[in-house]
Amino acid sequence: MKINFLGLNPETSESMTFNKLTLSFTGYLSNYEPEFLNDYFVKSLNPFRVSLILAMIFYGGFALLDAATVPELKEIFWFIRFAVIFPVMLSVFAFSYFKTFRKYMQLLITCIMLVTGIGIIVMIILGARISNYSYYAGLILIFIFGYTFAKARFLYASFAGWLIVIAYEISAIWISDTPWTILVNNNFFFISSNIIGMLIGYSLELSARRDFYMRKLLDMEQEKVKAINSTLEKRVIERTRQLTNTNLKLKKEMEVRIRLDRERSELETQLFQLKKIETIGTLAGGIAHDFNNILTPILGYTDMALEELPEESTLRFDIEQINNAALRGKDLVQQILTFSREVNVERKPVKLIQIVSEVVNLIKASLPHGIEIRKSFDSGIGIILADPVHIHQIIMNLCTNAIHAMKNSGGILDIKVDSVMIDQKTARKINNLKIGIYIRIRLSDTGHGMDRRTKERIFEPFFTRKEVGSGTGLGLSVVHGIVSNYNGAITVNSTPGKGTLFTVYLPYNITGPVNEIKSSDQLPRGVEHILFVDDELDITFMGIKMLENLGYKVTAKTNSSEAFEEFKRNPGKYSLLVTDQTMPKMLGSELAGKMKKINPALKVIIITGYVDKISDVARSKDNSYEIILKPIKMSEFSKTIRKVLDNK
Amino acid sequence: MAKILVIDDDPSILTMLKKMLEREGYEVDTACNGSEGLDKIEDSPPDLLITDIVMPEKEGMELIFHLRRKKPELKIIAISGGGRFNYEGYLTSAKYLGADLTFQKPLIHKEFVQAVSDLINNK
Repeated sequence: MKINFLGLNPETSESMTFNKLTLSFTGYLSNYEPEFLNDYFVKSLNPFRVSLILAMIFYGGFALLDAATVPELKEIFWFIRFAVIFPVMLSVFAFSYFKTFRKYMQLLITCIMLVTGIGIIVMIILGARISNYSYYAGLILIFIFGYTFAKARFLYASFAGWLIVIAYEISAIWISDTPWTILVNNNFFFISSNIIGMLIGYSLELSARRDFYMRKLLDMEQEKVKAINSTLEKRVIERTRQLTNTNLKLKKEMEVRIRLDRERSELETQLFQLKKIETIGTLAGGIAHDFNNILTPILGYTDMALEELPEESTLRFDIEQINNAALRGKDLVQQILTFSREVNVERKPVKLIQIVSEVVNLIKASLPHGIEIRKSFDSGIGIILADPVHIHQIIMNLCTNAIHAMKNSGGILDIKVDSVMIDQKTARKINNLKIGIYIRIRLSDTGHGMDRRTKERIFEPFFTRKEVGSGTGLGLSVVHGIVSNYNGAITVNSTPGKGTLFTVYLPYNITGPVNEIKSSDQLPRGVEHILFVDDELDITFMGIKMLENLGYKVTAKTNSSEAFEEFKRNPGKYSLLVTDQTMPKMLGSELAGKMKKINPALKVIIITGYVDKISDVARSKDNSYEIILKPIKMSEFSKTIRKVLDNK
Repeated sequence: MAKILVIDDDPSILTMLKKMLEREGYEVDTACNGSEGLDKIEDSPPDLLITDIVMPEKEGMELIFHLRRKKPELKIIAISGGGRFNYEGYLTSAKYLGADLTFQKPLIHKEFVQAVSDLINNK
């Protein structure tokens, strides 16, 4: 491997390339030449000034030598020293403080070398007349100054040096006729010192250049390091940001995961319960079939026997007992079948509230002491499509259970009936109900309540906590069967020692005979044009249906920006905006604010499923918005609409 | 005297119905499955057929379907104690396939006898 004088490999770009004679940078370094010259100038300026002063001291100091060795010539010599050389040096010294000096410095150093040299040569010529040949040594001093302290560059100094040599030779040979031996002697010292001076100058400039080059390399490396550092820093920042984001995402995912897991396990439990009940239902259906076949001949024969037996027969009572028992068996089978959902539902328009009231009155008649019945019925609920017997059975069964739970302690039986809108989120929690409008029957007691295990099994047929003989254990399973058959749902909440709440959801079949519903509807109605916005398609459909049934004209949008575009086109068309609060692109309250800017007369109702989101709505500047909480109650909804529209 | 054929896979029901209807003065024949019933209908066609629906040999449903095409004049009453999986669906389907009347087991004696009489007398 080749190694240059810097200890670097010239094959690589790291080697210093320069002209061996002029020392100028070449190749990839040539661009740096002006920079080096500038740098060299800056570094040389002060040493140059010092060397100039030093040179003047020496040049002046030798005036003493003049007086001692050539007293007869001292006036002329002193004239040369102080009247010619000194002014030149002083003016260059002064000039060094000017800006343009940078450009002429090397040239002026060369000039000073030449002028001082010629001065000495003149003194040599004059000295030779009186046989003094020793002044040539002054030239050696000039070489020393010129090549070293004065900071002349190698090329300039060499040029001046050799010019001085030539001038000396000319004057020594042709003008002063120096003796041969003295000439040779002087030349030896004098040329040798010029050559040594050149070598020193060469090596000084080279090392200055090397120094510059090394600094440059260092700078470049430092730049590289800086660049790497900054890239590294950027990467660290970027990476940190990414990590923070990922971390946040992970946290969110974990939260969602935990929530989904919980929901899943809840659904699994529900599904398991439903499957279990369904399986038992299928089994019950099979048993019912066989049981009916067994009951058929019993009833047939007892009926025939009763017809044939004379009135006074003692057997008559016995056979009547068999016949009655078989009839009870028949009823039981009917109940099992209701539970197993094998009975066709015959739906007709019924007044739900009326049936519930009937059952409550029926129960009141035989209410044990210490139990109070409270009821609160939403008068807005009109006719629904159902089998009255089924509604009867549901209410009766639930009431009987509640009363049984409070038999010893007494308490309050509370029955509430209203209608609610079930959205996707709520629906998921209630046995995966379809979203829509439902009649909600809530029946609570303050009885003994039940534990989790009991709660899980209460809808299974033949599961009973009543003592033997006081119930078949079919009651709640029958209720479950009926409710499921109506595509509804039943849920139970219970705290041991505090009481139980059963909630029954029955679809409010608006798709049924609407006229009948309308005729008995006591909900406030209207004819205004309403803009309905919700990002859930199903809820939007439901909203249209509901509002149209109340007589309103409805335009519905599932996208807040589309709704806003529509409103911009026809701002005067709508009297009321009904909007969901939580939508992906724009909050309901934001949408309302933008619309109110266009038409300040617009009335606004905001629907929200989250109580905590109300503060968002309230925080918006216009607090004239009405807020309705999900699940939407039909009566509340219709009344609020009327209230908002009538509030001029 | 009107002739009735009763088909049911449960012998006790078969015996009971035979007795019940004979008391009313009908001539009653019985079969314990669909294939046997079909043979008997071929041999001497009855005025009324009372058939169970869920039976092992030949399903009542199949029998009704077959007979409705072959013997449109034959009157049919379908009875059932309910299917194992779809209780009332069977009777609804039987009616759809052409049974004149359907009855849920256990039969209500008076109601059933009255319906048989009405059907035979074309009321």
